[in-house]
Amino acid sequence: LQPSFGSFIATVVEAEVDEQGDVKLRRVTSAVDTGIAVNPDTIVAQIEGGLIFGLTAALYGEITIAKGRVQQTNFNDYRMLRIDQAPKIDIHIIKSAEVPGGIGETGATAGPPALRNAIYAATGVALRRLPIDRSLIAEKKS
Amino acid sequence: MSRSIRRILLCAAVTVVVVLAAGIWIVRGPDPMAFVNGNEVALAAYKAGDPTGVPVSLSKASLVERGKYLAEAADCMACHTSQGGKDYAGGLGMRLPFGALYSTNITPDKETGIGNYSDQDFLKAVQRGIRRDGARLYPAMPFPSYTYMTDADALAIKAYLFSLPPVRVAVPANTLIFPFDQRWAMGFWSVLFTRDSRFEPDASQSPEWNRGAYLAEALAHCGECHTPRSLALALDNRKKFAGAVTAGWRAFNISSDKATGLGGWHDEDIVSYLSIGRASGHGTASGPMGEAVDHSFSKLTPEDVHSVVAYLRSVPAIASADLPATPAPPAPASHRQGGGTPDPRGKMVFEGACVSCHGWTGESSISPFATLTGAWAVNDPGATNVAQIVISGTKRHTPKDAISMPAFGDAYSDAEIAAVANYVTSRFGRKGSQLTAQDVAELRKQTSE
Repeated sequence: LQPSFGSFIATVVEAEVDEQGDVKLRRVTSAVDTGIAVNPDTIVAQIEGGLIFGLTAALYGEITIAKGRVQQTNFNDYRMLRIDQAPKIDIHIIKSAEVPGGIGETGATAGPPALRNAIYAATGVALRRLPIDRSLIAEKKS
Repeated sequence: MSRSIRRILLCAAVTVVVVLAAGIWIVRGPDPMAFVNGNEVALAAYKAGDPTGVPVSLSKASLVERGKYLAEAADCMACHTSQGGKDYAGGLGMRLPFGALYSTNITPDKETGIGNYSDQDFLKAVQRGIRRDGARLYPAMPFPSYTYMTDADALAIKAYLFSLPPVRVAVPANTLIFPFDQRWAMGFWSVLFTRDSRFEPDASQSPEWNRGAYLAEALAHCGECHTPRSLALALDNRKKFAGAVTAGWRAFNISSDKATGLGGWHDEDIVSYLSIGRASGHGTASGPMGEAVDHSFSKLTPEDVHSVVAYLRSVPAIASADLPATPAPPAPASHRQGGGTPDPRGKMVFEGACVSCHGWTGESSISPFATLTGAWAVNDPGATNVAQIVISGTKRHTPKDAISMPAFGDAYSDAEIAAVANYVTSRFGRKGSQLTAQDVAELRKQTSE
């Protein structure tokens, strides 16, 4: 559970880790309290998109620098979560009469810590850096 | 000393010499053009037109212009320019199992290039592999091929190189391990495995064949990648042009074998492959061959390209046992049908990162350059080039509408690349590969940088 841009969001990630340290996202469930829900469909879409964006960053978003330059140039070397890797996502909107909070980046901030905790639950490895280092979790599956 | 002892010693000495000579002959193998068993004559004695030099259309050109044509035909650029570096300034790292070799700066800079080379120095380096300071070059420099170049042609190349702006760039030092770092030892290698001889035309062959032989052997040095090497890393011309893996890429069979070589290709297919880097039904040149097309073959005159084809046609057939008799036809249009792999990651990577250009059938709707169907690469059960192009991509410049493939090596793991290579070869080839993450890690180590 976290406060995020004036809203509150709680997220659970269900993930699998294989022997190579590859992470497969099974399911993500978020409950969000964003105050008065003016357009619930947009809220769901925003959270879904934000979660995928945040999970992409957690899984692949490494930027490296060599000779004073960022090495990543495009999506061939700066990977994104693809549609076939996207988890099933359930969003629950809490009924509320409070002032509306932010929803644009709320999902993005919720994905990485929830995934990190899922990996901890699956492997016992407490990651302290993102993006996820596959070599740290490979063969640590309990 | 009694007569009999002397006789025994003499016999022993003769035996040693004969065995040594036979040993050297066996280890050394035939010369690159020995397969014709024809009638070699001195260049000066050959009257059916000069197979060396530039094409007739350039005969009135200046020395520098002629040198440019010949330097392109010899593809000096391929190795003497690093990725993102200045032309001919060297620094390309060739990674061998025993360390890295860096190509030299051949711009006319006096300190870091070859600005101080006299004509004789240049000839010695190009034709005999001996540096100006007397040190031996490693045969990464294809002097065993360039030795067939005429003095006039080598010096025209020198004139062209000296017409370029000098670039002051010191290339990194080689990182070879002992004993490969002992340059003097290359002297023995050179004595054993290289000839110091200029091109001799074959009077029993056509002028076109002779021109092709000169282009392919003395300049384009096809054998340096396409002929397998012996344990001593010398070209084994018993298996001339039968294909080999060089710098992490497989150079396929270009002997005249009907099924797995060029024997089944039409002349216009080979001409197209050399001129623009692709031929319908035979795939696209990528990696080192893509560079050879961009920097070298695409700059040759049509007559010269046809001469190379005439020469290639004459090389004896040697089959590649691991390749199928014919490449696989297009795959089904639906992803649900057609070859697949037990590892679901292969298809996952393919549908995420590959299918939008290459399509489910393998016949690209984006560009014929992205068509996989028909290429040896996807029919190779070793999947070397499929994995390699995923790792390092390919950048093409010829023709103008050619499209390039980005490198995916930094974003995907070895296991994912192995999985997608296995998926691609099983979907688009006759027989799927069984690459592992270790194989991919090994390939990454061999790629030039």
